[in-house]
Amino acid sequence: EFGDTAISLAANPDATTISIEDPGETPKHQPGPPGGSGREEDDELLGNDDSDKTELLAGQKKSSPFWTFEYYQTFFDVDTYQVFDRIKGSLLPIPGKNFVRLYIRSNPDLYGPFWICATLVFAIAISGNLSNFLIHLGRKTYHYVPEFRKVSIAATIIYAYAWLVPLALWGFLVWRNSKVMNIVSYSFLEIVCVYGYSLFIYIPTAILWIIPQKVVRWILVMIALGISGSVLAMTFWPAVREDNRRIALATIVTIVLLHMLLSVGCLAYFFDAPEMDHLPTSTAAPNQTVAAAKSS
Amino acid sequence: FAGLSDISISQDIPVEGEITIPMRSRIREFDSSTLNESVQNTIMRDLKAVGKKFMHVLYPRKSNTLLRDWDLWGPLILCVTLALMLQRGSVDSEKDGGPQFAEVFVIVWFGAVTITLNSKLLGGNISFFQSLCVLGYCILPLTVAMLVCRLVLLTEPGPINFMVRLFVVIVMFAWSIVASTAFLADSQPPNRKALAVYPVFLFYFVISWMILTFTPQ
Repeated sequence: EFGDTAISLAANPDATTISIEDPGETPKHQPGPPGGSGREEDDELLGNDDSDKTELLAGQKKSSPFWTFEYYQTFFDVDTYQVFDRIKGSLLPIPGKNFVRLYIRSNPDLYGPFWICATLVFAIAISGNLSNFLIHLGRKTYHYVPEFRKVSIAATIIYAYAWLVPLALWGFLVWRNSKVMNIVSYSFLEIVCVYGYSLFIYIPTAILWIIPQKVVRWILVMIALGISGSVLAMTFWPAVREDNRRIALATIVTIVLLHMLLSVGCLAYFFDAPEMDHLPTSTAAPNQTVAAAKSS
Repeated sequence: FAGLSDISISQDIPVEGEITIPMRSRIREFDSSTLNESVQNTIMRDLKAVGKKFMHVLYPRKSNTLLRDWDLWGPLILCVTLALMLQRGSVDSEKDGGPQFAEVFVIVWFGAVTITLNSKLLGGNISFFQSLCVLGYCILPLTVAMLVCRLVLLTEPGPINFMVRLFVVIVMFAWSIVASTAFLADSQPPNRKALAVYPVFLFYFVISWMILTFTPQ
């Protein structure tokens, strides 16, 4: 903790400092953040200021009652470049930068999560269908079916994950907040937003899963899990690190595990195992026969 | 009548004449023309309106006709035609086959409603039914693609067959997107146009996918 303070003060000499040895000096409020990173450091140091301001801002924005149309319009108050920035932020997790603080900044939107989930549903269903078609292409007994049922199954899985897991996580964080005073706390919509944007990496992953190679698919799973898992872990670590160390670690591990379960489950259900009988004989013969026997 | 004799009316002011309402005859004519006209006239008038909008979709120019006189007959006809052509031949043959009639219907209408809600939530100033009308009418190129695909599928299967269908579907998909964007893009705030157009792209892509993967039993 103290090491962080020394480094950040050295990097950011304009940050607010309160010097105790000179009682006459009033604490200067910093004139303005010298770039985005200054604010992040201050956030970690001073904690409550930003969250107080965001609470006020949140209260000012959502003032319409929930049965009017304007209330829901506040959740779609994003411009094109903001959505692109958030997607970019979910693809490039930078250690130390919190996705919520950096990109969402008390303006959570529902546009991103909803349409990313919709695209992901169709990407998985269509890619699964294409990949099965390509895998079984040579066989005489195979009759192509569009497998339309799988679209509704994919939709149920993805939307349930994108809404119920944030709900459970939010409830858990609220409960822990009542026991241990956390500096950083997120609203339910911010958590939904983070989860929605973190699913974006799975869209190109699902398209690349068409390639019928087991190794390629598992490498893709690892890469996607690494990126989106680290976005989620870095977002939620500040929210639980004040807590008991074991509970904090267990929370982060559960988040990443659920994410992995989603991706592996989708891969297993929608994409048939690639059978090796079309490939020319290679050196790993016993593995291939085992794989062919398992998948037939 | 005794008191009336005291009233004197000068002789040169005429107090007789005719009272006519100038528009009356025309209104009566208008009423009878829609109530008493033959059924053929009524149907032909609506069909002509629908046909005019079809022409506007096929040759998309920036015009307000589709938005001003919206109707939902065209989308209904197109959706029913598409769903009839897309449905599976027999229900019990393949469990994971193509979509049923109800599924296509629900996808088209539910998708159009979702896109409309999305564009309104983003701050667009288009009314609910106008947007439904535009989205429904712009399915016309894809319905034509479905007809062509069904005709092509009557010939023998093979890669050329597939290539022709793929080409037709891609061209019609692009046509649908261009047509709907020409009508819808102006109603969005300028910094959110891409956000409003992307769901339209996804919607027509899914319909194109359903058309392309249609296999007869």
